[in-house]
Amino acid sequence: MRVYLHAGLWCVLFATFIALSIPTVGPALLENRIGPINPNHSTDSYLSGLTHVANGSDLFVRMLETLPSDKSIAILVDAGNSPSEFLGMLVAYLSWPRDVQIVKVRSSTYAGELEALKRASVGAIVFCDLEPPTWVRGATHFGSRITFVAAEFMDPN
Amino acid sequence: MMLLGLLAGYFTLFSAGIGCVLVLVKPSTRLNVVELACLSWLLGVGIVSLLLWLGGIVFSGLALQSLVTLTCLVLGFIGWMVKKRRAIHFSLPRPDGSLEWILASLLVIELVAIFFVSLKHTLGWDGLLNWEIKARYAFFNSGVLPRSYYSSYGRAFSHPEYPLAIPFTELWLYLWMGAAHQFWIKTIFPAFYISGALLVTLFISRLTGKRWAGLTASLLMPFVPFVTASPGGVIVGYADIFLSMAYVVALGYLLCSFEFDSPFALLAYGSVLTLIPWIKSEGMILWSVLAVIGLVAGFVRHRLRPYSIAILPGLVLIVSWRLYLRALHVVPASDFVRPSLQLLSSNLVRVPSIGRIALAELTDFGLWSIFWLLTIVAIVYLVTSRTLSRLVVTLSILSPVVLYLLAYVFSAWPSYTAHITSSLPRLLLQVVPVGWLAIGLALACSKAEPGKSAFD
Repeated sequence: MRVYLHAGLWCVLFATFIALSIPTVGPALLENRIGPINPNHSTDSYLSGLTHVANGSDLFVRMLETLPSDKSIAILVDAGNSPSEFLGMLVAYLSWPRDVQIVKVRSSTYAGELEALKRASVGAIVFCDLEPPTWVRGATHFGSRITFVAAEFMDPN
Repeated sequence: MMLLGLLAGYFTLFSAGIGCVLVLVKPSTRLNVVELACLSWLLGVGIVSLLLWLGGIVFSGLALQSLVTLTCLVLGFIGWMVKKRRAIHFSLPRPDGSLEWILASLLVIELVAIFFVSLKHTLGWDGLLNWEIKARYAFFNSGVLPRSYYSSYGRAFSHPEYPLAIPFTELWLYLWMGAAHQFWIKTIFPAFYISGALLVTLFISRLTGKRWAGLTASLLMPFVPFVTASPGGVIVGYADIFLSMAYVVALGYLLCSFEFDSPFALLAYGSVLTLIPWIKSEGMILWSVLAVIGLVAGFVRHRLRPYSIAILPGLVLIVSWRLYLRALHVVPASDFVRPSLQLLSSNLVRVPSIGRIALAELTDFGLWSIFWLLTIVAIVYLVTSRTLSRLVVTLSILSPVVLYLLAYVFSAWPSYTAHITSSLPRLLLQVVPVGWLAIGLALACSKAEPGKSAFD
């Protein structure tokens, strides 16, 4: 009798467990497809999703090569905005071996942070999902969400 | 060419692991080849990543790669010699009866499916920005993680203080492939899952004498949605699956060491235990739990000395890594503040909220289905059995969960509740395989006779 109760209990528990799991696990197993087999598989995929740029990793690295190697890069991200913060980290990831500083800005501190960066010795400023001020000249747009500005174009005068 | 390099990298990892496992085995033993392969993978990862870290302090580039390769091959050779001298025989026990055949076949199909599903996804946030980033930077710096990385505030988001088992395994394969390759590197993560799942099968079979119970538990494990279908699971290249598997493997060998009085199990426990704090910072908590349980079990069995020796390598590794980070002026971690009694008393008001959020997380069927209910039922079975090994399994589930929850009392996030919801599921994942071990033991509802084990 005890054996049957034991077996019955676990059968019911396992059946319920699987019945509740399948709706989540099943679709997750079927989504996506393998590939492309590419060294920048993940970063390209994220950049493509967020900025709509194909082969974004290589293109971004090539863009950075135009900068002096001894200057750091300031990465401005919108504090509390997940895509912006994630893009900032991706930019930092791809910017190696350059020194980077990630600056989290809020609308109330945006102008002050920019003023401070103009005085700092940075080679470029990268705006991640942030609109650069209108007085910025020579901005290069990298897809829809990244704006790249060499430091010499950061002077409003 | 790149694939050949990848295979060569795997070969050296296994060579080191197999050598290490064979050295641990006593003479005239029959060694299950599934166990050999799984344990070799885990230990190979530990050996190679440690060698790359320590060797990288002095060497770099081709010299570093040659040194590590040579060590791996020598370990493999020593293992082979030991096998011959000690008359160790390999065996692959076949399933017994139609039920076992069906369960074993389904498990193989399931593990192959998990391997391919893992290749379909990108590396997740942590997989890319905590782990792969270190491998990539080290690869571009001749195999050595640059000192400037550890102290770079701009890259503090990537947790420079995290240990290097995963990044340096990735680095090892990069060195062999000749490229930092975000696609092929994903192959290591299902390997962690597969090795752990097979060893869980083996432990349940050994501890209960019922192979079907082990096969059933392992077969059901990926049906926990968080294991296969969520950020943090096996498909996104995070550390938590690896950590959870190392934890259950160390626990499994600890149980076997005092159930069957097996010296090999004790040595394997010590070896895998050492790996745990080398995988992720939280590994320190899991390491502490298993070290204390090992010491208590050793004391109860009047064998305190071997169990004390077993925890020493892990202790040395923890202290060495801390000293190394301090010497390199690593950017301090900012998720938790330094615990103090004053802070504890002032933050105790958080406890009810922590408990409430934890309950909400545990009962989130979208993440766990009714896995935690199964675990609670299993714990009731284990506690009522009143045997030391079953109580140890119960403690190994409850202690980390309680410690992890208490840690949020010291959370430094502006919103500690946001901290809990963003990280607790991944911490809970670390005890899921032990939960399945408990379920398998409860399911079998019996204990193996000493000296008899289903897979041997």
